[in-house]
Amino acid sequence: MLNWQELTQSETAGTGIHRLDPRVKITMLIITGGLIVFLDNPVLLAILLAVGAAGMLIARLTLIKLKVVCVVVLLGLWGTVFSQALFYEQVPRTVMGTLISPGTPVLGPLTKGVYIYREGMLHGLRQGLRMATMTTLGLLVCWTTDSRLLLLGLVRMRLPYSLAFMTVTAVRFIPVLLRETMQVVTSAKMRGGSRLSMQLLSPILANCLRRAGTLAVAVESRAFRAQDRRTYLEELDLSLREKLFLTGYLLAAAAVVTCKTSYFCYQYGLYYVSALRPVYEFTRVYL
Amino acid sequence: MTRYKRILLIVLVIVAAGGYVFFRGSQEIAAQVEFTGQGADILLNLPQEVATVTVTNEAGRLLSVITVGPGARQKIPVFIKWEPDKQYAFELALRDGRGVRLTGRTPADELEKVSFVLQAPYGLSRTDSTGVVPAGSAFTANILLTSHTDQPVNVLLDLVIPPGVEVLSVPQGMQAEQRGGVQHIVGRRRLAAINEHWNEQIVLKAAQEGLEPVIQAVANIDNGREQWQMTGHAAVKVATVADIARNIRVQAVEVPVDVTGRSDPKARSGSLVYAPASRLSSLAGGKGEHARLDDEPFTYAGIQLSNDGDDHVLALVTVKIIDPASGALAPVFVSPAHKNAGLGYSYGVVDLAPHAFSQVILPVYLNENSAFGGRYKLQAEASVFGADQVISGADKEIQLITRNDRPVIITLFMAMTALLGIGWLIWRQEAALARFTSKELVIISLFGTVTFVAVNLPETVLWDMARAVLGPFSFLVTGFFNQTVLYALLVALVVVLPHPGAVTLMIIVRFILNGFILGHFTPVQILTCAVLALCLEVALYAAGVTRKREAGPDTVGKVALLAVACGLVDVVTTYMNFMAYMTLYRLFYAHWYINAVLAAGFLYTAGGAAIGCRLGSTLRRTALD
Amino acid sequence: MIEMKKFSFWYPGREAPSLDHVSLTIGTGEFVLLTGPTGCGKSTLLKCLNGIIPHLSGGKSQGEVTLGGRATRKMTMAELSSQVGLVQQSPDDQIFATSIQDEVAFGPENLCLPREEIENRLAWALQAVDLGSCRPGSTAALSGGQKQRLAIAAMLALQPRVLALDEPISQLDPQGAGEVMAVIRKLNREYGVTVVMVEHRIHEAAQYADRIVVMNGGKLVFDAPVREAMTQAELFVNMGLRLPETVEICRRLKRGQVAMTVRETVDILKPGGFKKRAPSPVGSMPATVGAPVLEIEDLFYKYSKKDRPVLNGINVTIRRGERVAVMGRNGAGKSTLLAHMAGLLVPRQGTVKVAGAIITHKQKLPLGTVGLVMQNPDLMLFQSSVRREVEFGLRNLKTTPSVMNERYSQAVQGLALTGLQDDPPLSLSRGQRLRTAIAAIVAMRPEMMFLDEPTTGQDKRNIENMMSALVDQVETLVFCTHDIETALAYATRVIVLDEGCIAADNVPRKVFADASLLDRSGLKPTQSWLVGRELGLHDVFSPRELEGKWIC
Repeated sequence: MLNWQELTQSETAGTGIHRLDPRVKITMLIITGGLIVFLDNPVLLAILLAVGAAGMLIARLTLIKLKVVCVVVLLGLWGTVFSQALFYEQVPRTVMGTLISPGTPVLGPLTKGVYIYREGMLHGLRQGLRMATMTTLGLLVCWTTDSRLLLLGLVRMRLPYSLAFMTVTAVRFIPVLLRETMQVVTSAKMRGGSRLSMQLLSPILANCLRRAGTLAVAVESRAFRAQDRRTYLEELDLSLREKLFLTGYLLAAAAVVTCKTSYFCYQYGLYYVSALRPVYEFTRVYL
Repeated sequence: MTRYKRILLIVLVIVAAGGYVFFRGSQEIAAQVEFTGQGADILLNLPQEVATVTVTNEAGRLLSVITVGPGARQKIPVFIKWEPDKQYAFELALRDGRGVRLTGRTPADELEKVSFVLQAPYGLSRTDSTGVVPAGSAFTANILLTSHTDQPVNVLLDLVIPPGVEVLSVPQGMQAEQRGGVQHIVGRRRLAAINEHWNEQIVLKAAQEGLEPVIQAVANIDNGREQWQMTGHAAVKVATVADIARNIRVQAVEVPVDVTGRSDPKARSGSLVYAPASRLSSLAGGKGEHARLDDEPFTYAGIQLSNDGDDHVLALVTVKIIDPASGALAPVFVSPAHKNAGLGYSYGVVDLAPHAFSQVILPVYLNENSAFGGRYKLQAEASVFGADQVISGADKEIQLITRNDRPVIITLFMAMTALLGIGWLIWRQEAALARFTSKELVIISLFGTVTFVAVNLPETVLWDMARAVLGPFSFLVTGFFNQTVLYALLVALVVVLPHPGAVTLMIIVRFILNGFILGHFTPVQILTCAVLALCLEVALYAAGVTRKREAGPDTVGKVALLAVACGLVDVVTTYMNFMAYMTLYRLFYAHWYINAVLAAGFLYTAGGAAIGCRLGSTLRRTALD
Repeated sequence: MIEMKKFSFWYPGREAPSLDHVSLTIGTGEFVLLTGPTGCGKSTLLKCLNGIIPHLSGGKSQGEVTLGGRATRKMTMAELSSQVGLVQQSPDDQIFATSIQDEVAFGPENLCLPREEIENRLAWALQAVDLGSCRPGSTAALSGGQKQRLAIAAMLALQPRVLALDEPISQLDPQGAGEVMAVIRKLNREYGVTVVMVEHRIHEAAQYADRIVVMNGGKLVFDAPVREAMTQAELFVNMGLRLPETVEICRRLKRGQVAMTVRETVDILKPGGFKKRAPSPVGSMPATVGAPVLEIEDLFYKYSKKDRPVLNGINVTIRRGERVAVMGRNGAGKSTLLAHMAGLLVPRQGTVKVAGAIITHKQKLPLGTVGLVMQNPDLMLFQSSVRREVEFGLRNLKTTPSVMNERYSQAVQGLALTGLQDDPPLSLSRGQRLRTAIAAIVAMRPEMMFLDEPTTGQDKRNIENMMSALVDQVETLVFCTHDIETALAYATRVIVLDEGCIAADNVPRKVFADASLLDRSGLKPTQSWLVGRELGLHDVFSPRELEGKWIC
């Protein structure tokens, strides 16, 4: 079995990617998340994916993590390929196989036949690149940044501190609750119970309620939420380079989004300006 | 050309286009008026965006103000009733504020009492030209007499068939005669009322190529007071199909065009957008399914043909839109059974003038029941009328875009919810959470941890495995964790902490946890979390769980209500989730599949919520030591 | 420093006051031990000191609590938190952060202190609890004692003048408890922090305190300097509280004198001499020993390839009727060994034969062969009522209704759960929950029963009840414990583990008489034994035995 803690913990190796301000990483993630939604060109999506993969190599992640990324990304791609192979609804489409023929009783008339389409698999592969990109970048960020730094970043981006506190607490108790869950499952099994029984949740949750009282007293004794404001031990400073980089990336993404939006409007006949024809053409061919 | 140069070129084009738009205002506008049967056409030297056209007569009386739709046009038809030999003034108001005034005098000639037309082969637009017919194939001579007076006239028609031409059928009421070795076809008719027609078609055949027979028709007309004679000639050239074909080319195919053959500058050539009427608007507007596109052409295809020969050629043009994979007619573009003689594709006959380009405009029908977007192939083919052989053709790729607004609108709604939610948190800061005590916050975050441990961790392993094996049907397996356990925990939380907002906080914590620990940080997830929080809060409040703080859902009825409410929330959010995937990731899902997922989700969720009620009410009794 | 004047407090929804006209004055720099039976209001009193009551708790109060002359009611939480720090019982549950540094910086950050100041306080607080070197580490990696010290440091960072501690050592192993007590004492002596500590383990805390305050039923019933209090032993014994062994020894042998340390006791007892006819020790040999029920041969175990072995060649045979205590330091392999014995882990090397079956991946133990009680018995209760909880295992064993009824009533009566059958287990008190968990296992009549340190977090009386019930109902018993007294009282055999190897395997009295073995294995000998050793008695483990062999 894979040790999930080893896989989920960030590494402290000091590459440039590790040292980036967490806000830069979060912002990049958000911008990229928006960008991939707008991009259609599989080449560009593949480039973004490659950038993520390159980042992982530069950050010198351990082999096991790289393997995990590969498995997760490939499984994700396979998932979209699988579903789109069945559900592709564009012409042309070539039937490669039949899962449910329309003549099958019950399922046949219900589904009007389920086929495997070749073009659907390709479409799934192209569209799956989006999710693959986000998975890669998401894992890159969470493996190269301590989760407390990420939260600190979010707080600096105006996430209410209480939410950050809640998240830290949640993270802190993951190993504890995991251990407790194992114990509950073990003790149930020793008495002939099933590991999937929902009843097993009640001792875990009851323990959480008891624990919450203690923890609340512990933090309230330390002036938690006694004032609206608070200071922070750790400072985060954006370097000029980081600022420039972020601005550049943001502008590029905004340009792409603008082009794409105007193109969609044009394509769907919502809004058209003849002067933008070159933009439309550029968008159609390259984005 | 390298990619770099291409990009440079595109940049230059953009700059040039900008410059053109900026400077074109200074160009002169030239225009002229051409009076037609229905009114007049205003012809401009350049396409212009015209807003209105105002027409006045000699006396300055306003006859009509025509509002012109958006888009640049070069020809503007104006429908007015004009009198002969009068001056009319046209004032054009352009959208950029400029104006043009032009005047025109209507023609003075009076109409004949009876008009007479002879066409051979039938279909030629002009009567004074020579039409080519393929040797050995049938063609038609068309005779049309129209009375323009209300005085009755008697007409004696005499059609002279030259040697080398064989009569295949004589219309009823006419007789074939031989006079002086020449074949005549004779008939009589009385035209009693104004606009009464006499129209006859005589099917002929010219067997030998190289001949140039001239068909002559003489109409002797008597209205009781006076008699006169009108004659018509139709020169026909008989040639082999191969000879004709040499000169005929399908030059271009333009889709979409309007009924007059103009292409819409807004639409990209070859791309068709189909927007199905939403059920909502059909409810509101009462536009039922019966009034849909089936009878009306969806759009038109303009096929441009050239004729390099010296004679008119009558051509049959067909437009077939096929599925490129199978080569068969694409079901979506098959014309309705009662159109196009049930052939399934459009066709038309066009007279190709010598040394000229001609355009034929054919309707494109769309069958809404099989409107799959995608790439299709339009095949335009021309054959000489009367001969089956295709002499020229051209293909054009058609992109059908089925515009489905619902996923887009739902995704936008989700995005708005997410933005408002995030905005509210950012704006209100700590005040947003002030209603919760620290202990409650801790309880929520610990429930979040339990969700993570009991749902997300097993899910990541199980989900991937199930997805690999079951593909899209993995929901049947993962639903237990995804929905049953998740909703059991969510509901247990609100039963323990019946405050509005508790569920939202837990969803947020769970989202951040997921992002920070598993790296799941995608736009769709943000949207999903936002609507899940919104829907759950509404449902829990409506079901009374977060409204009445004292008693949890203690009766079977309340539990059932809550279970159904949660089930519905899952149905709604899962549906929205599909819409977001369709919009943001361009994925396809079959209707039956979505329905199956929703149904399974409802059951899994309702079960989970019911379990959560029990769990929650037990937990309320937890001894806190 | 602290003054309570006729202070009363009612929790919301309760009629009886949890604090009833409590008047108490505590001076600056004092170390006050606050004790009393469970539910007497000790913890409530602590919450009054740092303002949780009345600021955040709800409920109704009467009277006044002043801190340094100012009423807590009129101070803000921010002010209060820099006056009084509160440390609670559970080491795991009062730490919220993942990193040590964040945990300690949390308080000063909430007070909006400037960065440099936070930095200074962080360094100072960690150093004060001897965790200076752990600063960048993760809280998850800490042991129980370290966690409790971290909780103290987190409070110290607010520079409170008073440290209120709510049973800070009750859930710790002896080693951790020792570390924590040393830190508290240092803070009190060196930094002049006023300490108010709630603890029912008086025997471990009394020697550090200046004064003992006893509460009962929300009222203050006794308040005296430690030594004076120790003379009134009956008061404590009646409330079910245990005195330090040294006090107990003096009480039995030399009435009127109080000794707080082994040294003192020895000095007092030195003048006496051996008794002539010493009674022979009882219960040291197993009464009946039957056939082997568990055989382990050459067991090695590693959690992963890179780790060092947790079990390093274990050979043990346990026979029917034995009660075995497994002892050793944290990380010596006790829990892993127990997991193998219970068939939860499959050996990678070596064989484990339980009740005649060799454990492999394919062969699991038949249901009900062995029973296991976890460290936290709460995690074993997942049914909606005590009845269903106890019957759960029986149902899975598919017993006939009559057998089920019989076993059910035996278990419920044996563990004094009559009358609670229809309550959800999680609504019971801690001791009742422990008994329910055990009843649920005992009802299944396992051939062997394993207990993984069930003594942590439970008070003495609960442990005694549980052990005596188990001794009655289960033939063969294996339990892990840190507590020599428990082992002495209930085990017929002790196995001491050290670095995955068996360091000793013998009857308890033999094992606990080996001072160097105890030292190597991190076990803390009883005070009676230490006193006895000084006096030349090598076989005494309790005050009573000492009384039987020594005369003053």
